[in-house]
Amino acid sequence: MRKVLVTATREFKSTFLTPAFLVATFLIPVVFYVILGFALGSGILEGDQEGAEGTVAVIDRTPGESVVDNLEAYFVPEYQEKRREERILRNIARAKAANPLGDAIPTSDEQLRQIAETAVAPVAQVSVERLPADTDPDSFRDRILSGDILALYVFPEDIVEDESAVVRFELFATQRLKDQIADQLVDGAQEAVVGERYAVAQIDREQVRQISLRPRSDRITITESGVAESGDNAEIIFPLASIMILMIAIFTGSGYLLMSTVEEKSSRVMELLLSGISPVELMTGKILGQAFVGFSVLAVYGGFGLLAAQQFDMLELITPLTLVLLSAYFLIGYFMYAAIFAAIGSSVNEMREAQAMQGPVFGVAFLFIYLGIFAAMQDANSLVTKIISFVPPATPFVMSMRVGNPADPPPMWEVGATLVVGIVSTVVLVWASAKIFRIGVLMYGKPPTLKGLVKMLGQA
Amino acid sequence: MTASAIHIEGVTKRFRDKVAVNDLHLDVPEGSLCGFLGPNGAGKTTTIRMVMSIFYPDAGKLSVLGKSTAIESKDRIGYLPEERGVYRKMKVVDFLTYLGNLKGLSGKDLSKRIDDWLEKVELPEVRKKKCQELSKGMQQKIQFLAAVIHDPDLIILDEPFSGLDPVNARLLRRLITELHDEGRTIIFSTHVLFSAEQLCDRVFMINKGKKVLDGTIDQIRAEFDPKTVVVEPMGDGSSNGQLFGRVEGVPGVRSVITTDESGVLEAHLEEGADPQQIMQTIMNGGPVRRVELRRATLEDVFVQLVDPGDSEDILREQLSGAGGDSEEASDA
Repeated sequence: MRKVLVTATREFKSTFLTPAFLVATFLIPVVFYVILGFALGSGILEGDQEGAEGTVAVIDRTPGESVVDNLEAYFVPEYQEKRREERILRNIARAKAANPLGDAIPTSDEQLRQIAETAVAPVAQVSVERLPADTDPDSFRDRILSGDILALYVFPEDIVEDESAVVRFELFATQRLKDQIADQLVDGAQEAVVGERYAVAQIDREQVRQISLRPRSDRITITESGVAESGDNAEIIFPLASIMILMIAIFTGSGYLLMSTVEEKSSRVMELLLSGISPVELMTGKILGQAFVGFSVLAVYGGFGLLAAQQFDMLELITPLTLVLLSAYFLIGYFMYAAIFAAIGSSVNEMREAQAMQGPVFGVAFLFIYLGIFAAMQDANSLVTKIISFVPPATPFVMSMRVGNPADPPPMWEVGATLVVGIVSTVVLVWASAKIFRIGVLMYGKPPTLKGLVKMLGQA
Repeated sequence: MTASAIHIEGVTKRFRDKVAVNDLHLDVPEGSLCGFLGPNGAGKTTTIRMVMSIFYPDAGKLSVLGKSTAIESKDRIGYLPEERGVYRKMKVVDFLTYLGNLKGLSGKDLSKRIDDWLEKVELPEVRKKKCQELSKGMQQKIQFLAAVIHDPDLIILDEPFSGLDPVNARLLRRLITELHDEGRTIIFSTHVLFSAEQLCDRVFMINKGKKVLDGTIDQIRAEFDPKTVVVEPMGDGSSNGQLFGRVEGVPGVRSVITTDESGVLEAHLEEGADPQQIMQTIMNGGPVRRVELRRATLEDVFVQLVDPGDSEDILREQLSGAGGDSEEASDA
């Protein structure tokens, strides 16, 4: 046991305590998590904003030329300022809600405002030049091309009365006009037309807006530990988060196990190690060491998941039993894939060969895993989901999705049965892997085929 | 009677239908320094791996330091395998610490041993260096340290001199002698027959998986006495023809050959002839620069026991023809 622990400790340290691992596994997700959440919320990813500046000419052919009046009102600086302020406040509120670390990263309102302002276009400074209704747009070609005017609107006669979707107005501009500016000009014209329609119908637009506001739902999920507001997407977010975290943790640990085994073989240090430790002890130590790596990853990513859940007031949906079950499925999944990867790593000479041998294994495993994921997303307790839950390579992943779904958890008998299936499969795989490992670690030259690996089981 | 450090009794190991070791019987006395000889593919490494419990025999039994498997006494065994390497990115001190830990050492004691041994192999400056920064010869010395850092009672070295320059080979020979003088049992396989002859007090050799030689150096020399007298002429070679005839005519000389252009002769004696009397007769017959009774070298014995067809290439060809079982290829 002492030798197993010595090997496990070395394996853990040599993987975990390297700058590359720490950065790749911890720092990048933290930075990504914070920045992306913040940026998405604040709208900073939308890029630098630019406000329209210049003169627009308008040919308004509607009776009474009422649309152009509305357009003028729309581009009044005070009105533009008011609209911009509303957008900034909306972005600040979204950024606060999206910050996954909440108060862990203190941000002043002023800082938030500065960030939010960058995502909102400056106030448009547009003056409107009215033209007679019978003006030929072609006569304005030169002024548009010369940049004298920003664009020319032409509103057809029936644009207010015809409320069908096919009615259109024209906006003449050069190719130089940026999409962002064009959008602002189109937005103004649409507001002007719709405003006029409300006026003609003598309907209070603000009142309609108020009446039309659809009520939002506060979905309350009932769990054994209580109730929590889960929003509309808890049944998707939790299972997906569970499976992603489990996949990262399992394949990080078992992936490093494969690499370190291949490294020990290719560098020919293996036989030197075997002078002090038996192959089975070596394999056990390596698997345990990388299990700690995987568990550390699980703890960190899971920790972020809990933080996010707390941020969105969903923490109560995650029960201690869920965490225990997720840990159990992690262990089953990790040992299952670690056993497979240890066998592969021991029987090849370099990573290229290992990847070639991994291909069919991953192919079969992911076929069931993806089938299980899609089935569980459609219906967490459908017959297909239940069947795939009992296919060993998919069991840990599909079941992590299911137990991670507070809205539709699996029955406890299925949890117990899949745990038994997972544990039995893992024990068989570890036993087979140990047999292959014992012969494989000293085998050099042409890597064995799958058939060759099976033969090894009989030899060892 | 001296106890055996290694006792092998009727051990056979097959890889598929190829017999790597065939009904091998062997005793390595405690405290001896044994050379393990044989052509490539003879089964030396397979035998060593079975001794180390890395492989298990298909038939027969063996004991190591009184235990039925090496696993029970691994911490008392030091092993330098033929296929050896280092963790390239690991520091030398960390590498030796890890292997020391596996052998049950730890703390300051291990640290001191590492420092002492690095001094002994004249590499104190590499302690903090990464293994990949070392030359091949330096790495080999570090691997040797990994095999002996825990003061083992039994040391097994598989081709310890391969890849070493003459200076480092001499250093290693000195260290092996010192360890032997301290009472440890040492067994090493080598193709450098000169080293084996210089170092060993006992030699055994296998060919095609079977033992073909086992004894002390003196016993082997007696057994393989070439019964050859070497005669070097005095002059410039003008009288060589005369000397040839004189030696050929001495009673008890079976045949004479000229070995090189300087006219040195080798007189092969008849069975039962008295070498001393023949040498005396040659010297009495006229002036010669040198007359000596040639001693059997291990190289002579090796060449005599191993058919050229038994060696490396032919065996490898046979093994690879067995379906590319790379285990056999590496082991042979």
